Amino acid sequence: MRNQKTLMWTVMYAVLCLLAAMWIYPIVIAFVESFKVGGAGNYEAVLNHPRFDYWSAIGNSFLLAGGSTVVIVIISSLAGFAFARMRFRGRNFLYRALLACMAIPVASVVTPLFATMNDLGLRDSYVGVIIPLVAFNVLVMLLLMKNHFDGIPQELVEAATIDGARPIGVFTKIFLPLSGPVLANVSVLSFVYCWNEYLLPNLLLSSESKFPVTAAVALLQYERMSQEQIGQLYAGLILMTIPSVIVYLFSQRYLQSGLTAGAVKS
Amino acid sequence: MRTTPARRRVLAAGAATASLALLVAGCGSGGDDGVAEDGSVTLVYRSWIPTVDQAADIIDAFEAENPDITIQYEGAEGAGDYLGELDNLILAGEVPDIYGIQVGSAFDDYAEYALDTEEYAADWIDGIKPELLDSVTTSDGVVAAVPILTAGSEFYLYNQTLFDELGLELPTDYESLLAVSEAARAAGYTPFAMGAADAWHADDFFVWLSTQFGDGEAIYEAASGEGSWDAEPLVAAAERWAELFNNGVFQEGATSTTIYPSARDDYLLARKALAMPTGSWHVSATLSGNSETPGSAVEDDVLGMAPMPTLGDNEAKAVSGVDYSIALSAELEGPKLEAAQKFAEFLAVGEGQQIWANTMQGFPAAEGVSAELSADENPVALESVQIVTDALADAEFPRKLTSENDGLENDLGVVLQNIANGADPATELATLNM
Amino acid sequence: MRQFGGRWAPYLYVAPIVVLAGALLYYTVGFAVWASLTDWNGLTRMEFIGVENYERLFADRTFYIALRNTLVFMVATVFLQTVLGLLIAVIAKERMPGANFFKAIFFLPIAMAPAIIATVFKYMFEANYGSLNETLRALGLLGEDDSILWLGADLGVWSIVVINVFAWMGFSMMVYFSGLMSIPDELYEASSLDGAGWWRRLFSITVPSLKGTTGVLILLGIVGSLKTFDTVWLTTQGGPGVSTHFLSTFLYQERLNRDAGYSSAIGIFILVAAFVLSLIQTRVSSREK
Repeated sequence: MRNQKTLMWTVMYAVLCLLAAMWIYPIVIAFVESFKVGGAGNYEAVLNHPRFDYWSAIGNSFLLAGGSTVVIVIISSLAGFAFARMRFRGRNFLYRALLACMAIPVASVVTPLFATMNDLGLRDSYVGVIIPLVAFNVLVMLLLMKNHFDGIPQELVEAATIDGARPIGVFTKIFLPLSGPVLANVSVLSFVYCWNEYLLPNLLLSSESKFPVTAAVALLQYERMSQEQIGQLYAGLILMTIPSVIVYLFSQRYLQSGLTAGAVKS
Repeated sequence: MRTTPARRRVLAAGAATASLALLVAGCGSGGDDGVAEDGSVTLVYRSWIPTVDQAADIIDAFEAENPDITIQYEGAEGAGDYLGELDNLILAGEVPDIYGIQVGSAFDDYAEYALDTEEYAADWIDGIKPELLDSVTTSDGVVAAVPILTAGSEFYLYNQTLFDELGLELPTDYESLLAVSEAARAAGYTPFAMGAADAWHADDFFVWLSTQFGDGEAIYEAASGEGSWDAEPLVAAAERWAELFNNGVFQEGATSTTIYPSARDDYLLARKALAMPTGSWHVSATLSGNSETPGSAVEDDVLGMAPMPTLGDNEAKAVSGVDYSIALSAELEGPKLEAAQKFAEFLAVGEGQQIWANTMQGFPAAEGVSAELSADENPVALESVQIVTDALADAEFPRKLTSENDGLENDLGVVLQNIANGADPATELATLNM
Repeated sequence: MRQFGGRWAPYLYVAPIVVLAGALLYYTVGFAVWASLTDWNGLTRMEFIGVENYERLFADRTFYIALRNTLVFMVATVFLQTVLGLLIAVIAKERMPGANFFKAIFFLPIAMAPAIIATVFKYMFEANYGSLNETLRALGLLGEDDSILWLGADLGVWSIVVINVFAWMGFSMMVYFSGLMSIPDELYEASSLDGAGWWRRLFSITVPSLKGTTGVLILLGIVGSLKTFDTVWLTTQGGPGVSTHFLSTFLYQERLNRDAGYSSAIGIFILVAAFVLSLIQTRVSSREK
């Protein structure tokens, strides 16, 4: 019995190590390749690249993901509050109509979306990327917010209304203070989704100076590539990953509980 | 005309969305029509060639002659990216003042936004080789673009130093091609780094190959709908095409290799391949001042270019045609039109043609112009230029197919990749029959 | 109950999301439906042609290849991500040495943009000089002159599955891990007394308790599969031939071919499929409850 258990653990440990090796392999490869031929100079070359501006790509990504996140948090919490606690004509209809769009992939409407943003005069502008980033990501967040607000005891609301608080006061003084973890979840998830988005910025931006990291990868890749430049490509990819890994490390706790909140409640 | 149903519908869209747009649209572009108060003109020129460096030389020369005109050049990374950007600009109603245009099955789509050359080029268009004008004529018979450069297929760029190291000679026929390839593989090198993931390049190679079977016309008849795609010469050519992949002339996974950047950068310039099939424009890489080899593993090697040897029943000849032409936006008028007209003339039959031809990125479309090369160039480079020039002069068939099917380039590329990966040639080709 | 917030105020609260998300998405989808009934070339030509695009779609062999690949990808990634995620979460929960290290490794890719992951894998998977084949050759697992065509017609879809599992398995693992934490210990203690082995406890307690979590992960996986674009576009672009096209890349390719009407019809198909699949999933999971 004991032996059998030890054997099983050994096997499991081996499986785990094998899987971990598979996960580490690409990362190690990227590191090793990034130092080939040019050594650490590859990193320097990327930072001084004639066409690819690392800091501007990172800045753009932070601007797009950060801007979208702020908008998503504000509008999804406001709407979540209304859908959870207010009564108005068409409430259920509106809520269902919005959630029905939750699964729309960006890819399914690329050309119409491009034409629409263009006709709104928003092509090749940050705002023109933030609006669709919000539209395609906010509905999941709405679901999270509403589910959370549904769970806040009704007595709190009633007590406050008797004291003469107006809805906006109930929202800011009671609901928001009770929503710290959910707001953190929604923020971190929105940030990660928007940071990772590839198609929208590629579709809607044409000035290289506005490219976020996901679009800037191509700039590094299609430069004439000598041996050194392959190393530089990897160096660039690693450099571009660093900021999001740092954000992830700092917000790890929220991110993990955020994933769970989303999964358990919907 | 320029307002589509779609655009009109958008203009009438929900007031909420529209007002939101107004908030942010205030800072948008527009307003600037390119003519300043002092009468100086700025023109936008969009294209995928020349490279930014080459463009600077050409534009500097033009602006020196015409101080009132500024050319704002916006180059894209390769033709594929360029077309995507151009599509978006056209859809946005912002056709560039001057834009590069490719001949072939998609020509009509882009020629729709171009000014008829009658309007601006009538005086000097006969300075261009007359046989080139056919391919820049729309199906309605309008000559909609000015040919600037010609190119031909199929050639290969090779590493002479590596050939010498391995003690190999350039192949002269199919047998020697197989032998050279085997020797290269035995020495641990990729013989011919083929970029067959790009539909256009697979097409170029196959069009060239198909002219070596039957009377050589089969592929043009099939494209125009007069013949069938599974005609005997085409099937024979497709079988030979598949053999090149199966017999190790091309590298493993060639149908996943793009010509740029992979075949060029990861194989030839990485010194892992003996040679790379490509078009005549690549003879530029053999010259000392070229922009491609510096910094690469073949920097100190001697590169050369030669026509692919005969692989079919008939003697191989290059297929050639207009590689690059420019169109002027149909919306140009007044001083901008005059300025654009000057620039087009400069590029097509003037000094610009000579400067560009000297880079060897393409061959001159104008009569009586030929590249002026420094005599200090390496003999292999000089010989390569000569061989390629002669091969183009000797070309009989066009490089690009014209067809009712404006997606033919991509469709044929897919069929060729499937055949290279083992699909039955006749059945595959038959899927192209309309 | 008195109407909270008055008659009009609630609309102010929902207006931003309705305008920014609802209006934009419904307008765009409406536009796509209209475009799918035209011969739009993505430029300025746009004539009504009825359902011709849909007839063409259902007769197009590329469509069936793209559909098959999308389905294979969907089933394979959902299966691998849930099974591996659950397995690792269960092992990690046993507090074995290094459990946190393993968790961090598997979760790290979540912080990397798929566009970057796909680019690294593309170079790694290259047939002749890519790192993976070179490593296999160095280990003697592959002959000196042999190559495995990771991105070829046969293996391409599976390589894309691998990339996706690499990127997202940590997500399932973490969700399962948190789910495991909420299973009361008494359940396990009771069954230990009954003498149930590790495997039996896994299947009789752990898996049933995590049913809800699994349901949500499956839904997210299905929606994610229909959204998958960058991983394919940045590795194979649907090639060689059309062998690794997904519905999303097939659509994009048609757009590049200036066949925007047809491309919109593919988009509408994806939308309908997404809707139907999520409907089926919610039906099935609510019946189980």
